[in-house]
Amino acid sequence: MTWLDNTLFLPVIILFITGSALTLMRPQPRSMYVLAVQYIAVSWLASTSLPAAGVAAKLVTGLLVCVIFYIGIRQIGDNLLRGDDHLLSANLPFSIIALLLVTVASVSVARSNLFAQFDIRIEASVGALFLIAASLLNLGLGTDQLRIGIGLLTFVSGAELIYGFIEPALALVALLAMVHLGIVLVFSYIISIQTRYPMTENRDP
Amino acid sequence: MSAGLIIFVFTFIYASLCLVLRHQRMASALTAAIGAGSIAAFVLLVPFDEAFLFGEISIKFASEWIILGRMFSLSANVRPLIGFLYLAGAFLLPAAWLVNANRFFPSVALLILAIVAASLMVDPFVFAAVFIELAALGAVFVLVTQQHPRSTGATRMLILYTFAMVSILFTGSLLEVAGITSATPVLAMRVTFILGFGFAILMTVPPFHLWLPKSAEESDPYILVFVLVILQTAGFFFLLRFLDSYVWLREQTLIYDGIRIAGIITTILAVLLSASQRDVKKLMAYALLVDLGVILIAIGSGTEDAFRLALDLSAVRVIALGVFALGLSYLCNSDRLASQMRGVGYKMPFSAAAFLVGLLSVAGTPLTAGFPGRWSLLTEVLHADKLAAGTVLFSMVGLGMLVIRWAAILFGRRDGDEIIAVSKEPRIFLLGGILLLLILGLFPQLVFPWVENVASGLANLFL
Repeated sequence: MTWLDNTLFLPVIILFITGSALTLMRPQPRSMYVLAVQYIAVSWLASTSLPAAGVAAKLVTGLLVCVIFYIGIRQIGDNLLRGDDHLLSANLPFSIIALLLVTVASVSVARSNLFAQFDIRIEASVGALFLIAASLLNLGLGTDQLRIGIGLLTFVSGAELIYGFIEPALALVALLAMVHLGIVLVFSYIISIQTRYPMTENRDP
Repeated sequence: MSAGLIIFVFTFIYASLCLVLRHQRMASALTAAIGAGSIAAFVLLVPFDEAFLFGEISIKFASEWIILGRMFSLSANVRPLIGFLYLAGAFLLPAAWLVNANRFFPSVALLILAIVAASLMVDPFVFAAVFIELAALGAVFVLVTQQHPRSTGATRMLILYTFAMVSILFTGSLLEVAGITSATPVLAMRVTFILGFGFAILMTVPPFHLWLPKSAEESDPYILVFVLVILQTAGFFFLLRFLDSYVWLREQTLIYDGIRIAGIITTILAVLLSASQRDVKKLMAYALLVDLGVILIAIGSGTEDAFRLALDLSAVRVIALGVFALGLSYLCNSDRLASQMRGVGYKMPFSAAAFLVGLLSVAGTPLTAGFPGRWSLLTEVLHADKLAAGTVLFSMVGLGMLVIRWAAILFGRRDGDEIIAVSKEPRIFLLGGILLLLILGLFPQLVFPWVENVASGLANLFL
């Protein structure tokens, strides 16, 4: 699909926007829309390395992840949903500066010959490294389970994007899809447990 | 019929059975243990790739199973490793109903065992990293429960295991695609570094141990020991397979030096930190690290005998840590801080005894199961590396003194409190565990010869 190849800068821009949004926004149900767009952009970029079946599997998994996470978050209840009024993180200036730094760093690394052994397209390596850097920022800034979950999913997406050029096997796509689903189930479960049971210890089984 | 498929199908059947029996906690735990034991027997005893008669029916199990173009192989070199893991599960699962665990624990534990078994079967073996990540994901479901809803430790573990998965996957691909040998030193150094990072996480080497004390605080000790034993053993076997598969890796003395130094640092740090703990659950976390450090010293010695000793230590730790954590799980039902636990030993004598004897075995004290392995390691490394030998001795003395300290706390003051009644079954488990540790201390030959040969299929390491 040549037209896809010629417009590969688009998903990279989308990744920059979604990655930044997920870092700067307060984690909330509407973050899942952003995450879904991010998965679409990742699948678009992955089309340069993976067969069509692999790309489709990645896209379906990503959208499924967003749906599961959304349902999981809705269980949190009123407290977090009221937080929807506050769209952005509390420590916004710091987050913006940190994001700018990791963006510059990821673009610089992508332009170096770090992946010289593998035939990786520059768009994919820029997008992937930005996702990894943004996810590390999310994991570093995050204390709540939702942000950490989003951070981990973003990290795996970024790593997977590069890894697709090295090992484009369908089996690996399937395994990593299971990792995505596992992560979202785990975090939905944790959120659900912590919502339903107070943080006390040694309750009787 | 494929043997791999049979393992997964039976694991699923047993896990479903445990799920059905979840309200009868003893039945559920025993079913899981019987399931793990029977799968271990199948893996270890049944011949593969040759027909045999079962009654009048001729049966043949294929050792290979192909799914999505990838092979799951039960070759001769991984069968004992899988058998070992299932046996570890079979040993730890029967007591699961006695502790403050989730009702779903036996089911999830069986699934974790199956995923770890898959990590050993998958070809190319570098994909094992993804399966270990999946096992870690499963572990979160048993660490964070309605009884223990706090999740900082489990989340940290998951983050670290995800980093490990990615780094090991990349390293494996670099090894396959870039053709790294000793003739490409720069690339080899880069790979060694990334690989070391991945395995340091899998083996919980400091500073990647940070999830462990937090999880110890937040989860039931027995469940944490199950998770740690299974995941660390999977990481250890994975490391052995890496060393077995790549000549340049095996021949680099730097790798072994690095592992040994990591072991020395881990041991010393963990002994010092465990000595400074007032919280008995954190003490357990650091005792686990001491044990790991000693195993790393054994691996880092780089000789075949030392690898066998590492396997011995891995087997003994299943029993020692199981008894230790079971005792601790009961003790923690009262209090956790040293200042609050004075005299608790009089109220819960069996639990206190299991806790202390388990810790004695982890320390490698004479007459306990931990002693033969530690002593053999000491004699093995004494001439090659005095610092490593000194560290092993330090761990034995340090943890031994901790046992005295905690015995003094637990039996320090009797203020007339009544003994907390423990029913017959827990008493049997606690006493049985203590006796087993003492018997294995006196007769190590009951277990050691088999365990030493568990990895003998890795022909390049075990010549």
